[in-house]
Amino acid sequence: MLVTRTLYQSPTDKALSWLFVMPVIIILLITAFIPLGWGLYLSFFRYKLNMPSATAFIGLKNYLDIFSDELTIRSLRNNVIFAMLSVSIELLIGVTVAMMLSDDNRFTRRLVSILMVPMIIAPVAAGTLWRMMLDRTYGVVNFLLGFLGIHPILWLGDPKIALYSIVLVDSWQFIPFVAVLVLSSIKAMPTSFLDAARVDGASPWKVFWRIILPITSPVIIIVAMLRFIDAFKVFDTIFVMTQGGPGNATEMLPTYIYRQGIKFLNIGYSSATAILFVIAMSVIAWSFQRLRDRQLLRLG
Amino acid sequence: MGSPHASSRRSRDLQLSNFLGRPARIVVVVVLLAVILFPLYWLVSNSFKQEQEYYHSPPIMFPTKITGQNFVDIVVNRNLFTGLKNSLLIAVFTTLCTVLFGSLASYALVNGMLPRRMKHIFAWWFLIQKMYPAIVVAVPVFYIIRSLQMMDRVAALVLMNTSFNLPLVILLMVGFFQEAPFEVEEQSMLDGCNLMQRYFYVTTPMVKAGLIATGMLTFVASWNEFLYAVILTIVRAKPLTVLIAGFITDKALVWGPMAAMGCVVILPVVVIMWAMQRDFISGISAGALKG
Amino acid sequence: MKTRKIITVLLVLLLVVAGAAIGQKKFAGRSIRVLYFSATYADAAKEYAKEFEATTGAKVEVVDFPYLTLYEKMGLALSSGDSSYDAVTPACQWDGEFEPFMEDLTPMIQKDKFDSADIIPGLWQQSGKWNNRIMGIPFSNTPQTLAYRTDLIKQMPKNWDDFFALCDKLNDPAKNFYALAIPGLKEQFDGLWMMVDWSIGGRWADQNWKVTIDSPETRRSLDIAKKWMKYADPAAPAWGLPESDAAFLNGNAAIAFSWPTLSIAPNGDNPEKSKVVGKWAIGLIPYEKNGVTVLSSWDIGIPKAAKNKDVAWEWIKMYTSKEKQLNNFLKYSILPSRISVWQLPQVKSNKLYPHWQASQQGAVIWWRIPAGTMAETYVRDSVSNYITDQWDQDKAVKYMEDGFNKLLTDYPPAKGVMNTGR
Repeated sequence: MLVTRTLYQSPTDKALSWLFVMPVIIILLITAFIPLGWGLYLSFFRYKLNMPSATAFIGLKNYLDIFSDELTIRSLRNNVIFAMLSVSIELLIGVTVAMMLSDDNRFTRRLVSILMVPMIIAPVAAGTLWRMMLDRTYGVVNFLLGFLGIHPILWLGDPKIALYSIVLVDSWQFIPFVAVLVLSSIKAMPTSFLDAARVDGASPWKVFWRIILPITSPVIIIVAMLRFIDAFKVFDTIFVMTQGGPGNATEMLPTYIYRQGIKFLNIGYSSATAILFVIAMSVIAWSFQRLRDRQLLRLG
Repeated sequence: MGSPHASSRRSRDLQLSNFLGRPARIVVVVVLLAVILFPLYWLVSNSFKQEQEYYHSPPIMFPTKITGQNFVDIVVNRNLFTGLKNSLLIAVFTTLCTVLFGSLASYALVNGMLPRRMKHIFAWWFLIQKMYPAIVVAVPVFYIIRSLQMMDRVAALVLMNTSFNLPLVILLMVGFFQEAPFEVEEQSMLDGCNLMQRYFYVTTPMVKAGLIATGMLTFVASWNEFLYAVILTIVRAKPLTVLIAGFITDKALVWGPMAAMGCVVILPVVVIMWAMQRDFISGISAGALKG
Repeated sequence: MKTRKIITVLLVLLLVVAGAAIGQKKFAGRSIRVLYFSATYADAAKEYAKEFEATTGAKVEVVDFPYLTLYEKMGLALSSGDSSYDAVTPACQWDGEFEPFMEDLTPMIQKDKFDSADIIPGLWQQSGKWNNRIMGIPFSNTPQTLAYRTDLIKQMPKNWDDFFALCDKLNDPAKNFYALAIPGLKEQFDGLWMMVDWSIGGRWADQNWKVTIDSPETRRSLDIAKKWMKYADPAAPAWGLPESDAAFLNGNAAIAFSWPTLSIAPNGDNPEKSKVVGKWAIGLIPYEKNGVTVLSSWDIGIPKAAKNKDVAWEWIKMYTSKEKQLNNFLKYSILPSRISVWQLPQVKSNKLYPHWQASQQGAVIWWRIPAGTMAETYVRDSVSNYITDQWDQDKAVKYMEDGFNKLLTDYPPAKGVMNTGR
């Protein structure tokens, strides 16, 4: 951990320390702390920005309404399904890809640089691109699937499929993210483990399953946590591809909060949803951290 | 058995990448390349297609006549240069502010004389900031920006993007500063340098790699930002991400110009990333591993 | 001697100043920003901006957004007292909500003797007048109609049963030809459903705001809407107006449910954009009982927080003037709001003239009270979920009913305001 810097420092240093930290504190105050606090305060009111006359203090009613609101439950359900599916797919394929690119030669290095492209593309741009490709009649995906004898699929208009289309696009963008991180972790592994395995003549699969996977598990857990949390922040892709439709099949929590807060200016209600959201996410993140710490302990 | 040559020959035998078998590896790599490269090809080819060809069923794989008309269209009709200018301003200034303020703050946290509690407050804050989607504070922020008379200004987006990226930058820079050897610091302290002099002349050069990595991450993130760009801009400060979303209108499906805009949105970031891959990778790795 | 010199100098100075003032354009150096819906209306505005600057010296910046985001952009700006816009164009269904933030135009109308009598009276009542104030002047009056192929259909049926019989005859999926081109995206589709519901006599609530959505008419209209999808391209549920209009213009559909003035009319007879040149016409929807269709009307007004109200008023007068409305019609297919323009020979002989008949027959908008937009969302979600088989009919109807009741309790209409819509 942090080395204790007990050397005496001048009073100027103390003042300068505060000076250094000031800009960050001011920025965070204006753009994060105050809005959050204000949001918390507003969540106890019925407050619709364009109908100020209807403002009223209603205590916890917003929070109670959330649980009885059909659409909030639906958004939550969609979001959870989306998160679990995309994280699983991304982990599975991401780890596989990382393993397959773990050799260090020119070819794999080139592959990695190509691999990184999807994850740095703006989600808005990726969403627009995929919307073009997934169109039932004019899209190229159905065209190519036709050669395999598959009937045209209504990717974005069929409520049973739309959610999976979003999972598809999200995975396309972020499998590279998982792969790159796991790959770094594999490369950072001390070679002593691998050497021992080589001497024993173990097969690649055994090495992977018994050695590499356990050792990289802390990183994998963290990556899973990051992707899981990000899955609940998805907005750009949905905004551009389906707007939450068809029906409410792809409505997620962020798009729902946007709808309530920005579209309807129903600030009280959307703030309440947001606060609950933050609390839920904190609990999830804390659980992931606990899991990783325990794994680290186990590895010694 | 024990000679370096023998073991290196053996290490060549143990190909980890064949952990699912050789054929599987070939299949995966080929599919991976196809799945990543094809959409990009599609984007680029559509941006050069003529109208009859980009909106055609069945879709045309290889355009027969290419045209630069789509790019001309987005410059003339869709304010491409304004969008480009705004995206650039936002990304550059956000990166400068975030890296500057973030590294200053991290340095003060590690080597300065701040109460221990500050570190805990920041750590706690970073965790919370990761948790909530930006939409949660959108309306209060709108109000604040409006009362600061900053609506439709690039400055407003620089402010917001800086705020989003600060937590990660500080987290990473704290790590880098902690790794920097303390002896050099001690020496300069004994020589009478104050905090500011130490920051600028001594320690920062040592963590250059960290600054570059965090700078790149911030640049990409702020270039790609969409939600607040949509909420806080009206006309003048619209960056490229808002322009491309604006194609989804009731008027017409103009995929050619849409693809052209997509190319412009993607290209700069790809170029930067390719030029500085290693720093980029080290940045996100550090971010994940230290999270 | 000296006094005469001074007087001459002063006189000359006075003349020079007067000359400069007269030669100056009225609003030189001023600039305004106007907010429009991204379609033909904004295009017309952009054309007039240059002319306006040449005559008055004021620069005009035309800002436009697609329908989907226009409401929130306008709403956020107005309700937060933003002075970014000097003139805005609310859709008539947003009138009740935005009225508190808009200027009353009555004094300006009276002062400049604006010829209010020329505006279709029923239209103004539904679009621009609210709460005994004039918050906007309506400049377009579009009842929802449909477009149909004249080479395949002699006469549009007058009721829904005949309509479906016609669809049966025309539908030919094997040849990639469908009877109907429909935008299935929820923000467009709900309007289509409303059109049917009202045309057979249904209502969301009665005049006194008692919710009447749970009715046989509602259920029948839901059935009709669902049946449409059988005669449409399987991709239609994901289509917006551009896609469905394109399907009609490409010759793949016999009837297009749409707002024909947006794309079909401007492009229908243009051989570069349409394969059905000369083979289409505007038709009225099959009215049954009450024979009303949905009204889309936009009015233009001035936000209270605007900084250049005088210039904005000049712009409004210009944009809604007789000459401009004629130009709007001929060049941009924007239907006029002035009776005198409708009576001009160029308009009467135009393909779009059936819209006059439709609006005479009756066109209404849904609730114009502040809770109206939220009410519409209940309809959007419910109808869309029903059409895509995610909800059954009872659930869909109950969802709308519960939603309406909650809205009317939480955000009751002001005293004395009746439900003049449906």
